[in-house]
Amino acid sequence: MSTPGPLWLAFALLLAPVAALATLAWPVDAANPARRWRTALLVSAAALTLALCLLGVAPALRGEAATFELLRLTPQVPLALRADALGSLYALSAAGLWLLALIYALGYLQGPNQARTYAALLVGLGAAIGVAYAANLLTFFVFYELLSVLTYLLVIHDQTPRALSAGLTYLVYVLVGGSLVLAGTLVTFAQVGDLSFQPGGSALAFGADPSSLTLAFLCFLLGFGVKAALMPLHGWVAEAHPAAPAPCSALLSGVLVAAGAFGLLRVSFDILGLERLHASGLLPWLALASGATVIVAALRAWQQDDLKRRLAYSTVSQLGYVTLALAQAAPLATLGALVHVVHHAFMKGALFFCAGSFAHVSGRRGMAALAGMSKLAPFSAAAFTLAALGLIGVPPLAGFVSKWWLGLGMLDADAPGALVVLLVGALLAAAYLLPVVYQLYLAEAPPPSEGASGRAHHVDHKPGLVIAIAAAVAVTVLLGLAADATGFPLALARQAVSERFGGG
Amino acid sequence: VRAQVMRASVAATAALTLLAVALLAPVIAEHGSVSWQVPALVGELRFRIDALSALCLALTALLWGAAALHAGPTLAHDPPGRRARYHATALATLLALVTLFSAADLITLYVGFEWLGLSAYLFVIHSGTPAAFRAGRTYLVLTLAGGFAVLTGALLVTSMGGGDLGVVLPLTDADAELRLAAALCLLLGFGVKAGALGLHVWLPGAHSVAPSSASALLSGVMLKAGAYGIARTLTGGVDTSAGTTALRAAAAAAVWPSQAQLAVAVLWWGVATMLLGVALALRQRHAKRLLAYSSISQMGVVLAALGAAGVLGGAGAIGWAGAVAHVLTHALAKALLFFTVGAVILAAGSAELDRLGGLARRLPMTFALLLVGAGALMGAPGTSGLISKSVVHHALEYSAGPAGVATFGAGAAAALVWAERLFVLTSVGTAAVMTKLVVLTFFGRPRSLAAERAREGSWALRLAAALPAGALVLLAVWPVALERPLASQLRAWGLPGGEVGAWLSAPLRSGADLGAVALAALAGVALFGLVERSALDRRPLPAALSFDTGVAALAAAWARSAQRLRQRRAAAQHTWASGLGAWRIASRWRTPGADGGAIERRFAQARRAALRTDAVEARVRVAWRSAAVAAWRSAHRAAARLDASWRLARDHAALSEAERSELLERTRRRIDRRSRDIGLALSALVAVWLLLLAAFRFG
Repeated sequence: MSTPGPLWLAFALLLAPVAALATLAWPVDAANPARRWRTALLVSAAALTLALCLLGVAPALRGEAATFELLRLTPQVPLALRADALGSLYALSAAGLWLLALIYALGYLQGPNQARTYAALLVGLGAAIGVAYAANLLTFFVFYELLSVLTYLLVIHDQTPRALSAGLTYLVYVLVGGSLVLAGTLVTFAQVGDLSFQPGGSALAFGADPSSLTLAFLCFLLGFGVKAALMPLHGWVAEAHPAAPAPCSALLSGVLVAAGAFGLLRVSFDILGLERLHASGLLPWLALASGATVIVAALRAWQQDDLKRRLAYSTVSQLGYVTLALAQAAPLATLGALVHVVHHAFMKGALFFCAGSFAHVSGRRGMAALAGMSKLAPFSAAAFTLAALGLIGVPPLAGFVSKWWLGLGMLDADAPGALVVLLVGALLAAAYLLPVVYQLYLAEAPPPSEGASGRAHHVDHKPGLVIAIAAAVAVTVLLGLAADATGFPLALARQAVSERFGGG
Repeated sequence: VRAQVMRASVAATAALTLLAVALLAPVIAEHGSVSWQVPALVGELRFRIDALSALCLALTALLWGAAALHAGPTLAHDPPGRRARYHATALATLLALVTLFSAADLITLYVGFEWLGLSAYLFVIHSGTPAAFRAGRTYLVLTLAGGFAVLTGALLVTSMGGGDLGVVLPLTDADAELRLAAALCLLLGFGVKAGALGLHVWLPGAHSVAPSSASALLSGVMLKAGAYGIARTLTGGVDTSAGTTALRAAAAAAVWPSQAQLAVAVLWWGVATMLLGVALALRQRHAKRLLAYSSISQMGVVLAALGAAGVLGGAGAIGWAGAVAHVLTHALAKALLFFTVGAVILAAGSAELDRLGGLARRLPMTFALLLVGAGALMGAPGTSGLISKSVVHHALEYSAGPAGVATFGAGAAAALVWAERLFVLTSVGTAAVMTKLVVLTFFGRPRSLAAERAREGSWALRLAAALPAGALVLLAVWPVALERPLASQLRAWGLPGGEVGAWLSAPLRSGADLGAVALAALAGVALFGLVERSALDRRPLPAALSFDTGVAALAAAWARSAQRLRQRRAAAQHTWASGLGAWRIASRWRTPGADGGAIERRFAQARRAALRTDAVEARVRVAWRSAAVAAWRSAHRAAARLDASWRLARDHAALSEAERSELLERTRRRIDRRSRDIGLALSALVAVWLLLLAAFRFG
C-alpha cells in the first residue's frame, strides 16, 4: 500500500471541508451580494462530492475496490480509504441526504450562527465520507469521532438553553460511546496486530484469543450501540433531534444514527468475521435488545406529542430493525439491513424536512398545531403522507422493499420471532405516523389568522425547502419502484453481501 | 373542474379496462391466460390475466362506470374539494383493483390489496361526520391488520420458494407448520376484506356511512377482493404450466398441509357468516345497514361455496362455478340495490325505513330496478340469482354426499348435511330481508313528509342502476357469457369443465330448483310478516342471545374449568406431598441409625407444606369466583341498561320525534360499539393466541 491510489477518493474526502474554509471567508449578511456565491459554492461542493461517490459505484459493483493511502500515522496502520460496495452504499446515502439537507438548510436556517453551521455541515460531509470509505478501523474511528463532534455544532445551532442542554447530553453520550469504540479498537489491535477491514474478517487469520475478541465485540456493541440508539443507550436521540434545526435532525437520523449501525456492520463482518460473531455468544443478546428496541421505541413514539420527538423515536425503532437483522448474521437479513439503512435515511429525511416546514408555518410544536396543515402547506402535507406510507412499508415505496428483504431474511435465518417483531414494529409505525396524517388532513383546523396564511404561502414557495422535500420524496418513490435497477442501493448491498457471505 | 376531470378519468379508465378485457378475451380463450412483467419493486411485478381475472376485471369496470354516473347527483351538494377527493379515491381504488385482479404472484396481489384498503378509507370518511370517522377508525385498524396478515403470508410463502398464484410449492415435510401458518395468515387477512364472521365488525358502519355510490363499490366489488384472495389461496397449488390432468386435490395437497381441513374450516366459517349476517340484517331499520349486513351474509354464501369446492377436491368444479357465479350475481345485485336505495335517499331524504313507504307510485322506475336486485338475491328466475344460488346449493349437497364421505368419513359428512340445511334457512332469511326492504320502502303509506313529496331524480341515477340490472338479466338469458370463461378457468385448474353449461342451464328447467326458490321466497315473506307483526326487530335482543351474556357465560365457564383444574392440581400436590413424606419416612426407617423424631418432623413439615398450598388454592378459587360473579353482574347490568333505553325510546310517547330518533340512534351506537369491542377483543385474543402458538412452534 505504498502507492497512492485513485485521486478521486481524496477529492471526495477533502472537497467539502476545503469549500467550508472558503465559505468562512464570506461574512454572513442578508444584504451581502456575495451571499449568492456562497450558496453556489456550498451546493456545488456537496453535489460534486455526491458525483465523486457515484463515480466509485461502478467499480465497487464489479468488486474492484479503489484504495487510497492518505498518510501513515503509525508504522502498522495507515490512514487509508477504500471504496468497496459496503462503503459506497453508505457514502451514497450520506452524500445524497447531505446535499438535500444543505439545500433545505439554505432556505431554512436563520440567525447569527449560520456561517458556523454551514461550515460544520460541509466538514461533517467530509467526515461522513471518511467514515464510509475508511479502509481500516483506525481511519474509521478518526472520522467517526470527527463526525460526532461536528454534529454537536449542528445540534446547538439555535443556542437556546434547550438546545445547549440537549447538546451537552448528546456530547456526553457520544463521547462515552466513542471511548468504548476506542477501547474495542485497542483490544483488537493488541490481539490481531492489524486493523484493516477485510470481507470475511481480518481477525480470523491470526491466532487471536477468542475471549479477548469477545470483549472487543462487547465494547463495539456498547460503543456503536450508543450511536445506533440501541435501547437502553438511546437517551440522546429524543433530546438532540427536536433541539436541532430540521435539516440537521434529518442528518442526525439518516446519517449519524446510521453511522452507529454501519460501524457495527463493518466491525462484525470485516474485523471479527462470522465465526467469531457466532462464537462470541453475544448475538442472541443483541437480537433481544434490538427486538425490545423496535417495539418499545415504537410505543414511545406513539406517546409523543411533539412531531420531531415522535420521528426521533421512530428512528430508534427503525434502526432497531438493522441491528436485529445484523444479529441474525445471515446473508438475506444483512441484505435487508443494508438496504434499510439507505431507504430509511431518505424517508426519514423527507419526514424531518416536512416537520420543519410545518413548524415554520405554525410556529408551535405539538400535534394540535398540525390540524388543518394540509390547507396551509399542501405540498409538504402530501410529501409527508407519502414518506409516512413509505416508512410504514406500503408498496410500492422504498420502505416496503427493505422490509420485504428484512422479512425474507428473518425467515431465511429461521427466526420467525424476529419476523413477528418486524411486523409488529411496522404496525406500530402505522399507529404513530397515521395519526399525524390524520391531523394534517382531517382534523378540525383552527380559524386561520392573517399572519399564519402569509407564512404558509412563504413556505410552500421557498425554493430550497420545496426542492429538498420533492427530491427526498422522489428518491423514496424511485427507491421503491425501481429498487432492483443496476447501481441502486439494492445492487450495491447484494455485492457487499456476496463479498461477505460468498455467492449470497 | 378538478372533480370533473377526475370523474372523466375514472370513466375513461373503466372503459379502457373493459376494452382491454374484450380484446384479450379471444387470446385468453385460446391460451388460458395472458401474462406480462414489469420490472419494479422487488425484482418485478408480474401480471397474468386468466378467465377468472377477466371476469372480475369486467365486473369492476362495469360497476365503476355505473358508480361514476351515480356519483354525479349523489355528490351534488358536496363542496367541490370533497367531490374531487371522492373521484380521486374512485380512480385509486379502480387502479388498485385492476392490479389485484390481474396479479400473477402474491407480491403484486399484496400491492393492489394494500392500496385498495388504504384508499377506500377516504370513501368511508367521505361525509366527515363524527360517525364517519368512528367507522373509519374501525375500518382502518382492521384493514391494516389484515394487510399485515397478508404480507406475513406472502413472506412465508415466498421464503418457501412459492408466491406465484399458479405454481405448486416444493413439498418438504419440514415446512408443514410454516405452510399452515402461511395459509392461516392469508385466510385471516383476506377474511377481513371479505367480511367473514368475527372480522366483519368494520363492515356495517363503513358501508352505511359512505355515499351510496361508494357503498355500491365497497359492497359490490371490494368485498370480492377478499373472496378472490381466498380463492387464489386455495387454488395456489394448481399446476397450470405442466398441463397435467391430475386432479386438483392431489395437486393441492402439495401446497397446504391439509387442504381438505382448511376447506372445511372455510365452509363452516362461511355458513356461520351467512347465518349471522342474515339474522342481523333482519333486525335493521336503516336501509343501508340492512344491505350491509345482507352483504356479510352473501359473502358467507361465497365462502361456503369455496369451502365446498375444496371439500369436493377433484369433483369441486361445481363449487368453484357456484362461487364465481354468486360473486358476479351478488356484486351486480348489491351494487344495484345500493344505487336504487341511494336514489330513494336522494328523493325521500332518509334511509330510515320508518320514514319511507308508499314510494312505488312516486318512484316507479327506481322501484322496478330495485325489484330486479332484490329478486336476484332471492333467486328469482330471469335473473342470474336463480342460477348461482342453485349451483351453490347443489355444491353443498354434493359435499355432504359420497365425496364428503370419501374425504372425511360418514360422521363428518353427516355434519355437512347441516351446512346445506342452514344454507336453505339463510335463503329464507334473505327472502325475508329483501321483502322487508321492498315492502317498507315502497308500499303502505308514506311515513314522512319528504317521502310524500318524493319525485324521481336525475336520469343518471336510473341509468347507473340499469347497467347492473341489465347484466343480471343478460347472464340469466345468455349463460354462455358465464359458461365459457368458467369452463376455461376450470380446465386451467385441471378440473373437468365440460359440465358447466349443464349446471348453469339446469335450474331454469329443474322443478326442484324452481320449487326450492319459490318455497324459500314464500317462507321468507311469511317470516317477514311474523317479524313485522311481532315487531321483533324493534325489540332488544333477549339477554340469552346478546353478545354480553354470551361473553359473560364464556368467562364464567372458563373460570369454573380453571378452578376445577386448580383444585385437581392442588389435590395432586397434596397427594404428592403426603406421598413424599411417607416415602421419606419409609426410607429413613430403612436407614440404620435414623432417629424417629427427625422423621416425625419431616412428615409434619411435608403435611404443612401441602396444607399451605391448599390455602393458597382456596384463596385463588374465591378470587376467581368473585371475578366471575362480577362479570355476570356487569353483563346483566349492561343488558338491563340497553333494554331500558330501548324501551324508553320505543314507548315514550311524550318524547318528540327528534328526541326519539336521537335516543334510538344513541342506543344503537352503544350496541354497535359494544359488539365491535367484543369482536375486536376476540380477534385480538385469537391473534395473541396465534402468535403464542407460532412462537411456541417455531421460536
